[in-house]
Amino acid sequence: MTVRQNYWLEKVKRFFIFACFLLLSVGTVAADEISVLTTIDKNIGTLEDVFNLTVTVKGVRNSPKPTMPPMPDFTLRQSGTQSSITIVNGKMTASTTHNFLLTPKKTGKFTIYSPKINYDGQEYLSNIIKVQVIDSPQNTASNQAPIFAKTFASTTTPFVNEQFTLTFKLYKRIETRNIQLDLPFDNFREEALGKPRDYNQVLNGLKYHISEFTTALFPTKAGTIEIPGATINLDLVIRDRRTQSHDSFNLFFNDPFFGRSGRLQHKIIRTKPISINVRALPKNGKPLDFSNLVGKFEISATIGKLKIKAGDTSTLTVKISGVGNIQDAIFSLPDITKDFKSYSDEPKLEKKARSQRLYGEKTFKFALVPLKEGSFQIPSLALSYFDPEEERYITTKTKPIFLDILPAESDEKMNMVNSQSLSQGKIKVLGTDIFPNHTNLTDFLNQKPTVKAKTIYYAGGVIPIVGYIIVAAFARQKRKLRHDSAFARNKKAYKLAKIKLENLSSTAHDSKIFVQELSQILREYIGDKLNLNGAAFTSNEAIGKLRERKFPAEQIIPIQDLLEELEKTQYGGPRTASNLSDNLIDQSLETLKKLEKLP
Amino acid sequence: MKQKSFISAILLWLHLLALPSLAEDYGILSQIALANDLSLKAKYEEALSIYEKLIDENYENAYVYYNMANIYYRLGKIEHSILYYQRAKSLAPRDENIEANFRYVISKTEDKIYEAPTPFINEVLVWLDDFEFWELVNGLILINILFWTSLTLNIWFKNELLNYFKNGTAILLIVMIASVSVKLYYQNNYLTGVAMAERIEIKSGQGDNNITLFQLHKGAIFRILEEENDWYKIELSDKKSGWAPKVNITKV
Repeated sequence: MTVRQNYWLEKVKRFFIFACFLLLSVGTVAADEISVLTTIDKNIGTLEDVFNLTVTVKGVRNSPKPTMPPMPDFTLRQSGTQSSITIVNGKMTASTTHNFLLTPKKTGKFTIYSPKINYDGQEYLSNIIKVQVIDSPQNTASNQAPIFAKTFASTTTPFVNEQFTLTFKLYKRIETRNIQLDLPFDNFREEALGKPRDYNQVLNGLKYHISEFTTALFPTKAGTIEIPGATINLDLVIRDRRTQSHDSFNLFFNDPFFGRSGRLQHKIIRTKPISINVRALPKNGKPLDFSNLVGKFEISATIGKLKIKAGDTSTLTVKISGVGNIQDAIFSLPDITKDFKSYSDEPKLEKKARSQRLYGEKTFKFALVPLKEGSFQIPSLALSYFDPEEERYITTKTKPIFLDILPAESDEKMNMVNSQSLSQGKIKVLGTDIFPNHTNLTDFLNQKPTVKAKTIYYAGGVIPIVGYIIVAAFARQKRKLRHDSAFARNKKAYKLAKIKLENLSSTAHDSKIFVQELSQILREYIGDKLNLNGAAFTSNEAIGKLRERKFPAEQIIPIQDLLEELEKTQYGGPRTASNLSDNLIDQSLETLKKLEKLP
Repeated sequence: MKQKSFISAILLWLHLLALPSLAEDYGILSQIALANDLSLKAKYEEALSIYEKLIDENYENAYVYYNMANIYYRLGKIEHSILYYQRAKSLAPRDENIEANFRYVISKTEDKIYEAPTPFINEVLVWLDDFEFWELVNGLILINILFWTSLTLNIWFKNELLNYFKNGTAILLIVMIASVSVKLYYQNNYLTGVAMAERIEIKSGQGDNNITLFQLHKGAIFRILEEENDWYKIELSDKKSGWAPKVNITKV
C-alpha cells in the first residue's frame, strides 16, 4: 500500500467517524433546553437609523418564525433567518437566528416587548429591549452629510385650488440602491409634473448627485395644512477601502450583488414637514358664474359651418386653456333653445407640464341644430376665474358668432340629427307601454296559403324535376343515337323506309324493277331493325332472321305475306303499273306502321 | 305548334295563379283599415269584432293577431293578449315589435313564463324558430328550382362553377327539406297552450280529486303533451308537468 493510498484511507475514516458522530448527536440536540434571546445592534439611534433586531432560538434547528409584539412606532421588516450547529467539547448546540429591521417612525423612548416562539406546543418568551430614538443630525447639519434630502414648496400661502409645486431633492455623494420614496399629500390633489431628473451640483465644495422630483399640488380646503416630511428608504453601498480599485473588472465584481468588497446598509432619510397656509378665495367680487377655477385661463369658441340649412348640424367647439386647476373647468351654453337644439359631447381634457407648471386644455363640443332659417347670433361665451397673482376675479369672453341659416331641404331632415358621438343625458323613465298597432296595409295580405298558392308550390316542386327527366332522357337518346349504331339504325329504320317508299312512289313505273326495289326497301328495313345488311338477304332469309330474334308471329306474318306477294309479282309477269305500285306502297307503309307500333 | 300552345297555356295559367286575387284582397284591406281606425279611436270592441270576423273567414295575418293582442292588453285581458301575441309570433317570428310587446305583457303576468318548452331539434336547426313555415317552403321551392336547373344545365354544360353551384344547392336542398319536414311535424305535434283562467290548479292526474302539483295563473305558457277526455297534460319549460282541465286552456 502506497503513502497516497494511506492518505485517502485516513480521510474516509475521519469522514465516517464524523458522520456517525453527527447522527448519534441528533437526539442530544433535540433534547437540549430551548431558550430565546433578543438582541439589538444599538439602543440609541436617530430617525434615519435602522435598528437590527435579532431573535436567537437556541436548542432548535429551523425553529418557527417568532411572533413579534406590536410595534406601532416602528416599521418592521424581516431580513433573513440563519440556523447553525456549534460543537464545543463534543457537545453540539443548534440555534436559529431570525433577523429583523426596525425603522423608527418618531423620536422617543420605546420598549420592545418579548417576541414569542411556539415549539412543540410550548411557548417560549424572550427578553425585553429598550431603545431610544433621537432627532436626525441632518436637521442640524445636513449640508455636510454624504446623503440627505430636502423638499421645497413654490409657495406656502396658496389660495384654495391654486396650483403650486412641491419639489423633492435627494442629494447624495455615496452609492445607493433600492430607493423608495414616500410622499404623502393628504388634503391636496396631486398631479405629477413629468419624470424625475438627475443632475450634479457642487454644495460647499462637495460634488453631489441630485435626483429631483416635482409635483403640482392643489389645496382642497383653506387653513393651515402640514405636508408631512418625505420618507426615503434606501440601501447605502458600503465599500471596503482596502480592496477598492479603479479597475473596471474589480468595479464590476466588487458590486454588492456579487457579495464581494461591499455591503448594503439600509438607511432612511426624512425631510422636514412643510406647513402650508391655504388662503380662502375672497368673497368680494366673486362672479355668479365662477366655478372654482383658479389660475390663468383663456376661452375660445369656433364653429364648424357658418352657413347651414335648418335641421343640419354644425359643431361649436369651446376651448378653455391655461395654468391652474383646468380639470375643474365646467362650461354650459347660454340659453339658445329658441333657435337651436344643442347636444353636448363629453369634454376632453389634455394636460402637460410646462416650465414646472401644469398647463391644460379642456375642450367642450356642442352639436347645434338650427330650428329655423334666418341670421342668428351665438352670444359671447364668458369664463370667470380667480387669478392668484393679481388676487382678483377675472371674466374673459369670446366674440359672438354669427350664423346664416338657410331653409331646410325637407321637414324630415329635422329628425335626422345624428348624435352618435354625443353623450346622452340620463333620462328619467316616467312610464312604459306596448308598441302601437301595426297600420301599414301592405303587410295585411292573407298569409294563409290558398289553393292557387299551393298549386304553385306543387308546380315549383314537380316541374323542375319533370323538366330534368325529359331533358335527361332526350340527351341520353341523342347520345345513344350518336354512339350506338344498332340503336340508331333501329330507330331510323321506319323513317328511312318511308322516305324510300315515297321516292319510289313518285318514280313508279310498270316493271319488275319496281317490285324488286320495293322488296329491297322492306328487306333493308328488316336489316336496319336487326342491325344486319338487309339488302343481301332473300325474303325468306329476312323472315328467318326475324324469327331467330324471337319477333312475335303477328309482326312477322304481315311482312312475310307482303314479301311473298312481291316475289310472286316479280316472277309472275307484268301487271298494270299504276294500280300495282300504289297498292303495294300503301300496303307496305301499313305493314311497317304496324311493325313500329308493336313493342 | 300544338306543343308550343300547350306550354304557353300552362305558363299563363301559372301566372294567373301567382297573381293575388286583387278584388278579394281589396275587400279585406278595407276591413282592416276600418278596424285599425276604430282601434285608434279606442273603439276596441268594434275593432275586435271586425278582426275576428276576418279570421272566421279563413283569413290569417301576423299583424291582425298583433293588433288584436294590443287591443286585448288595452282591455286588460292579458291572457287573450298573450294568446294572440303567440299566434302573431308564429306567423312573423322575427318582428321585434311583436316580441317586445309579448315580453312586456308577459312581465305583467304572475308566472312570468316567457316560453313553452322547445323541441331539442331546434337546438340543432337553430334557424327554425326564426322562420315561419311558409317562408321555409318558399325557400325550399326556390332551392329546388335552382338545384334541378343546375342539374339540367349540367347535362349540356360541363363547367366547374356550375358543378360547385349544383353541389351547393344540393346541400341546401337537403337542409331545406329537413327544415320544412321538422317544422311541419312540430307544427302539428308540438302544441302550445295558454292559461286563460285567473288560476289553474295543475293536478297529478285527470280529475279534481287528484293532488294539486302546482298552480298556474292567466297568461302562463306551456306545451300540451296529450289530450284525454276533458283534460290536457301540460309541461312547463322547467319540466314540471301535470293535468289541467281543457276549459281553462286555449291552444295557440
